[in-house]
Amino acid sequence: MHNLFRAFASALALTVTVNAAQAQSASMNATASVITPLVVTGLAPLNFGVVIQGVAKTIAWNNAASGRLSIAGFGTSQLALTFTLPATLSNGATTMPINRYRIRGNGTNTTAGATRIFLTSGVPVNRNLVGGNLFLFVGGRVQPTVTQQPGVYTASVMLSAAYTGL
Amino acid sequence: MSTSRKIAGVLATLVAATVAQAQSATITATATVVTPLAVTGTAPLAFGNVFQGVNKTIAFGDATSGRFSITGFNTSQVAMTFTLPATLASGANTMPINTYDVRVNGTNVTAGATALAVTTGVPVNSNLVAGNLFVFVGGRVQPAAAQAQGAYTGSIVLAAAYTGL
Repeated sequence: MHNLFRAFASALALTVTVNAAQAQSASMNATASVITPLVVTGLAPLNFGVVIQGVAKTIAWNNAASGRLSIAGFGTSQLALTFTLPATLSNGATTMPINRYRIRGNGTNTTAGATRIFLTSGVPVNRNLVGGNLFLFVGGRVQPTVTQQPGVYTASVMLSAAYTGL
Repeated sequence: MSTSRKIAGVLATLVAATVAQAQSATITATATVVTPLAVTGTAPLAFGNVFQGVNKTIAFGDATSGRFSITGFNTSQVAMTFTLPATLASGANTMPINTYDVRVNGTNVTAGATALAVTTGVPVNSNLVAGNLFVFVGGRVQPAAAQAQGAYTGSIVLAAAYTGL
């Protein structure tokens, strides 16, 4: 009788052991970094000033009258920058071509050391923030015709920025 | 839910969060188109006959003062740079010219013209008036007592450019 009990106990122990060996578990962490939202600001217009009929005029990206935008965000995050660059300036129904945009970016609000960004209107291009900042300098050229109607011509240059997640 | 579905769900959430954070701003591109400037010399500064050893002055308002006209856009500001000779020449002979008196007006009359403090080669600004500016130039010649006889000439040059204002 005593031996029979020991045999049954062993069988139970074996069963329990087998069951324990089949249970598997693992864990992983779920992590997320909440970062500051991007802030995109237009700092200065691209100002061609007085333009003479028939004489093209260029404002270099580092000219005092170049356009300026700033982006503030998190650390050195990568951003997708999408510029909407008009092909013409308008004065009522009259237009004037604008082209040859030259855009450079820098981590500080100085043109010295800014690097060129090759881009096409509407096509995102990636750049990293530097210390949470990116400053953009915009130059370009207008081409009035010899009979261009005198007046003030304007258009909007738009920059859209989004984190890429990198 | 399978592990792959969970991962896909997380990725979708991350993508959605990224798109939601897109921000934008605009700047304005502006240009003011103007008609080209036209600068015309309309009358010489004519001293006429002068006598040896006797200075002669032509006032800006005299009929023989020098005249320029500038036409351009509206009331734009122009930078005027005068090149004013220090001497008139007759072959190898020279005669001093100085004490220039330069004045400007929006109409082609000397009455009401305002004085410009002009230094040769140094731009001075003035505004067009309804697209026009008229410039009147007086001055003085100083023939020496032994000034050689003859016709003396020199060129007064006016260059004008928009300042952008």
